[in-house]
Amino acid sequence: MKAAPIFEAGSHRWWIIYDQDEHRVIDSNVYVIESNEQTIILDPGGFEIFPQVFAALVEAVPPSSLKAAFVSHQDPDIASSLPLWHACNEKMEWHIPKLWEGFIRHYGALDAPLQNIEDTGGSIIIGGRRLEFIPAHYLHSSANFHLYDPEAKILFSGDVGAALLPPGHDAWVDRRDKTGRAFAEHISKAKYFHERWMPSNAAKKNWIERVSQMDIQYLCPQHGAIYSGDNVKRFLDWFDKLTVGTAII
Amino acid sequence: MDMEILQDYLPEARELLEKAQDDTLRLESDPGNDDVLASVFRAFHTLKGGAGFLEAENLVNWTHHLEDLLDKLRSHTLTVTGPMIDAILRGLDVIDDMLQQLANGEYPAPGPEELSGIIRQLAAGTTPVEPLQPTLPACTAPEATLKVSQRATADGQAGLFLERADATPSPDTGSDEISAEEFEATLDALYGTQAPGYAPPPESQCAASDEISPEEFEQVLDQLYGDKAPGFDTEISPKGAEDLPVTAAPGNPPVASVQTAPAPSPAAPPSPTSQPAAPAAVRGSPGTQETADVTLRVDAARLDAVMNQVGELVLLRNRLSSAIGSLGEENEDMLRIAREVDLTVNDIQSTVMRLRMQPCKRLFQQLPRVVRDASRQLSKEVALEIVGEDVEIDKAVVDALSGPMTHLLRNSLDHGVESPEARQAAGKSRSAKIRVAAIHLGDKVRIDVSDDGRGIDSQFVIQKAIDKGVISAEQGARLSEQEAVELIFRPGFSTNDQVTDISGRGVGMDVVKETVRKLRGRLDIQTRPGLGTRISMEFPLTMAVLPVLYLRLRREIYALPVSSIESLLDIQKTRIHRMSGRTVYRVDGTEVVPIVDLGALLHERSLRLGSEPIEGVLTERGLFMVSEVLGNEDSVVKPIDFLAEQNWYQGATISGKGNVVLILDANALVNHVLDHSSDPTTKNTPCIGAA
Amino acid sequence: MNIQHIMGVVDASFAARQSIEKALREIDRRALNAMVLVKRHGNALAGYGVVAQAFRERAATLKDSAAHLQESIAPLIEAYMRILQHQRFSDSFEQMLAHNADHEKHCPGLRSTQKKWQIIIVEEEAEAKAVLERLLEMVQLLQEGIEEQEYVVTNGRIEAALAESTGAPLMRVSREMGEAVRTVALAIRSYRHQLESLEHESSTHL
Repeated sequence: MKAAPIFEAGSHRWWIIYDQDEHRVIDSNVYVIESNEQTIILDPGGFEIFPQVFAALVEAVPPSSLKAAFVSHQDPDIASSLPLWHACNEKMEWHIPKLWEGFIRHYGALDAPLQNIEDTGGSIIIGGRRLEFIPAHYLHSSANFHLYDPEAKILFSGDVGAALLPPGHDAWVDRRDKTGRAFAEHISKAKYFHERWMPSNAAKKNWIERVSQMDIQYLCPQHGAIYSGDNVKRFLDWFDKLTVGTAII
Repeated sequence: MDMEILQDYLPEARELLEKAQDDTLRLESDPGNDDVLASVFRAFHTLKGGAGFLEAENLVNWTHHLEDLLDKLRSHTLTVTGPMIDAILRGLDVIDDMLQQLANGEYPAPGPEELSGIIRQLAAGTTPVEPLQPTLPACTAPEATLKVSQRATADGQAGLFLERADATPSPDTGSDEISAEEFEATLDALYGTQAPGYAPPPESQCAASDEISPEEFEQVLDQLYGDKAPGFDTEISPKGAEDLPVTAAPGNPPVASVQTAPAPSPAAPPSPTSQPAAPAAVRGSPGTQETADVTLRVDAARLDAVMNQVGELVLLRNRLSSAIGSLGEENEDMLRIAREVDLTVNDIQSTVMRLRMQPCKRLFQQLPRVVRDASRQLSKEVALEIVGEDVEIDKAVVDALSGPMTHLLRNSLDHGVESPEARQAAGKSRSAKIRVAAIHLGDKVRIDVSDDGRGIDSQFVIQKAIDKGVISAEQGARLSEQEAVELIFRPGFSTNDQVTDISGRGVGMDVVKETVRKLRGRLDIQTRPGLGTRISMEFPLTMAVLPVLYLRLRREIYALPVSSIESLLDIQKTRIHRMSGRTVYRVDGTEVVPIVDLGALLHERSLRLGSEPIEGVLTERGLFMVSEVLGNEDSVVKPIDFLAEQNWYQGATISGKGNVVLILDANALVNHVLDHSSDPTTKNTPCIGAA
Repeated sequence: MNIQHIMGVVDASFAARQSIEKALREIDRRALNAMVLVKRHGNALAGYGVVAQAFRERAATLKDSAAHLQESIAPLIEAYMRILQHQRFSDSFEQMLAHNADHEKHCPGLRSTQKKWQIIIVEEEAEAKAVLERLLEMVQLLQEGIEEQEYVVTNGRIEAALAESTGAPLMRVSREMGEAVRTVALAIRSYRHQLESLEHESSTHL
């Protein structure tokens, strides 16, 4: 895996760690936000890919800067690396949906400091910058959060926007393409994922309403590539029209 | 009599005389040959001009009559007749006599009245015409005298045209179909009254065996003092025991002019390229011609062509180095060949560069006359001191600067120097001093024009600039003293003013500044009220090659002349400050300079410290923020023609990778930033057309 | 394997890498600065020009080697993290075995699995050690490069001293070059010490 900067403004940076080497497990992105030499890691990934994620991470930030991890929901591709991270840095705080606490403990590291996020959302301060936990319940997990950085105008959207891309993929959905062709090509690899893993049209509608009011430059999913600029709008429009989950079956 | 001018004048005059004689004889058999007529006319004209500088009035008069006659023949107002040929030839004999008198250090006696009458009669022959008015050296800056003759356009990048070299003679050299004015201007520019480079002196041959020759002496002095050996009158004995006047050339008159002092020894050790051909040569005793063959007169256009070709060679060399550098595998042979090509091209470059070097004397020799005339006209008393005549500089500078120099002197006399009474009242000597000095500084030559006059009153300048609409009253209030004084270089400041006979002439200081800029030079003014003003112009030693630093601004590459760079810096945020509406950078404890954000200027998008890589290039007047500094290269400037109204570029060059790269004009950019920084509406926009 | 020790080394090497990178940039800038200075003084400083050119070329080589250094750090860290991962399996089997022993139960399958993991870990540790040794070799090369650079700086100082009157700015640039080179030398030395402490630990462990 490799780390690439996606946003930089002085001491405020976002990195993506992407393009996994191990293909027997689902390809995942891990994001890192650095703010005044403190870092938070978003959806730190599965147990199996931990060594690569960690090696790529320390290219970008020193491990001692890790203050917290954000876990959007309970899935293993997101949180099963918890005991290994905990072994590396016991002080790291884990911000998880309150509903899933007892489940997540099953990954090990019973004494790891877990911080519950209430259903209504919340926020965290990293290096003097406030990051917001945005409720995204039932997208797809019954207790599910996204993370918004109002200064960088980046939304980490967990499984929303996810696409299943082949190895060697880019970090971005082509940013220079004005025609929307690159988006269309990309979204074909996202369609089934959303139809099948997103359970509820109502939850989807609710989320789109909430997110449409936010100023978003980049939309960063946990699988696939980042949507930026016009592609963010294209994605929201596309997702709005898509019929998902219970409405299909 | 100015012996120095004389030394230069005599051999040239003899050469002209010989040629004129040959030509006149040819006229006998081919009376309608315009080329020959023009050549004889030119000979008389040049002879006259030089005689004028020597103040050899009788020679001037004599040649004038002949010139007059030839002018009419040339213009076909008269036709060549046998008696005319006779008269011209006899006239030539008289000139030969006069030259002999000059060589003996005497002013020539008037020519024989009878012959003079004949010549005048001949000239008046059919229809008497007004005698030809000798044109005064024009005050306008000759436009790019070093005009590279080639004009064939090749497509550059987006909207810019780049001139590439081919070979057509430039319009102001070598063609016969030019106007008399152009003709004279060309002659003045080409020859003046001085033969460029004259032969070694005879002393070297008659020096006694136990005495060192002047050449050896010069060498010793060169080693001791750099190329500024002060001249024979200050030479020391070779044994170094005591200071003795040289005895190597008994009977050789002391030649150093009282008004001419040797240039002060510069800080820089001598650069081989700046060594005068041989300082001894121009001091050769009069009347010797045996070594004249050593000098070769070459048409300036040919020299320019050679320079252009060398320019192309330099660019090719750069491309070769770049191509070899990017070869995947290391090939020892290739590397060695590349290195040798590199060295050879460097050698050719510096040789050609030396061919083009001329002593500042050529630039300065007209000045005593300017000062004399103007001071008489203004009833002011002025002593002119000229320093560093031997300092050599590119021909282009010598050619282009003669107008501006005259203007600067006249300006100084007119505005700077007070009347003798006013000076006395101010406790100064009645006679003012104007000093013109050329100083060799590393890869530059500085030419100073300073006076001890009244200085420049910044408040007066501001008021005048406001009155003329050059600046607004609000802008005026914000200017520093120095900035106010520099207003005199603004276009529109001195033109349209009540044109005085002396410094007016419709040419402003802005033309001086523009000329300096075109020569890639730098203009600086310092004034102290009541004490005087100094204007300094710095020029690169050579115009043939321009060492540049390549820099990256986001995805684009630009070049900045190395000569304008002080150092390269890592930009630290804590050193950036806002000061009276300007963004400045604290370089160290004492130096604070304005910041020039190239991103804001050229991309309309400021570089953001911390979010993108930024490096600093410190120039004398400002700190340039760029994305990355890439490296340096010896480059060749190609003129550009493009539609931008901003003059932010000095030209373009071809990089080693074969791309067209624009060369930034550091001064223009700094000025733009200074002009617009305090105006909030234009702060971060590169205001098109706002200059 | 002491994970906290490794974390400390990773942290320190991150800082060292940053400082090396920065100092190398500085070296490059100084070299270019010197070349600009030489150009500005015409042929008078030609001797220094050669030095500046050599300095800049070496700076480019150093940058190159430092980049290779970066590339070999990731595999080392990944190897350690793999060990950490597998250590957890080994540990849980160890616990199960201990638990069984308490209850006087025997389970040969469990023991052999535990053995298998231990062997894997030993192999992985050997591999990590090999990666570490390669890294140390690279550091050694970098250090030699720095020593050459120091030599060039010394030459530059001599040339600057010979340049007399124009030498003052050169002396300054030479001094700055010297400082930048020293910074890199120090950063690399401390980096080397950290890597060596890892090497020492792994060899005592084996």
